[in-house]
Amino acid sequence: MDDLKEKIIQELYEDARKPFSKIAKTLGVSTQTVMRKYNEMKRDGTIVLSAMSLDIEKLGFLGTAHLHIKTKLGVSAKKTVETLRKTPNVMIATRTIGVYGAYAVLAFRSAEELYENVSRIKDLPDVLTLDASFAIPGIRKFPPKKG
Amino acid sequence: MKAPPKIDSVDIKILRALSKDARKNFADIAKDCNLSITAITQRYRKMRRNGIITGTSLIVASDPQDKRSISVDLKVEGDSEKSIIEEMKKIPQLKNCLKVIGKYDVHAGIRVNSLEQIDKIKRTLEKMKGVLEIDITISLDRLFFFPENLVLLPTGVAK
Repeated sequence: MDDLKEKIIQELYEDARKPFSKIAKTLGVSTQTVMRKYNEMKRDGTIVLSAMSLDIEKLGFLGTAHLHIKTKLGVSAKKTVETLRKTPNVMIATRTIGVYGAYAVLAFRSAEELYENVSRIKDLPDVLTLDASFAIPGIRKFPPKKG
Repeated sequence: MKAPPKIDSVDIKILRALSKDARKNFADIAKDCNLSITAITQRYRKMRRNGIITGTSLIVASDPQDKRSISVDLKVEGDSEKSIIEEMKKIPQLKNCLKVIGKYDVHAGIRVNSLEQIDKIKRTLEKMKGVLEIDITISLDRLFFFPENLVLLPTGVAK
């Protein structure tokens, strides 16, 4: 990656929607140059993803389940992660190094939906065990006050 | 809990387009929605203001610093979650930190440049009061974030 591309990336880390004209001004080059470099990086796969981050609680989700998955001995987590990546409401899915073979984050709207989706993931052919933790931002106090 | 802001099917179209490409041209979205660019811009600005859109994410294949994501999951003593989360927020590479219930008590996502950095973070955590167990998992895949998988449903008619 050339120096200018690196600088453009640094600018985009701050805000992926930062106008090309603004980046050009900061870096002292023309807008066309920034645009050309950006398009090059998108085409050749340097920029893998540029996306808006969303507050899922405000979109009606109750919370997220953080799934730590072990696959059967001698079986890679590749297939499992590939399936997870096509599963609705799975926002994060990756193979991992460590105690577990894969990690995923699943957003859910209700306890029923959570139960259904986690059961389905647990039943995937390569999955050996699944440990889960849940983040439910709506619960401000835990345990809830008595009375 | 405060009532969430209302979004309708047009807002969802905008969010879907932008969760695939943050730089997506508003003119293209406007065309898809049969609306003016101004209308799309207004809706976009509103969703930024009310916090539905929190910012942007960028993932780069050949990062010059070879940044990697790790997940740090902690088991902690009963009442120490809050203070630990506050302490963890001081870690400069921290991406997010949440209180969770279940297998672990606290979850954090951290971007690191090297194994040494992971070791340093681990030693910092070991010194924190109330920390019982630290599990660190290193992400093997660079692309692990799939915002387009979220199933978005209208929550009402946006005014």
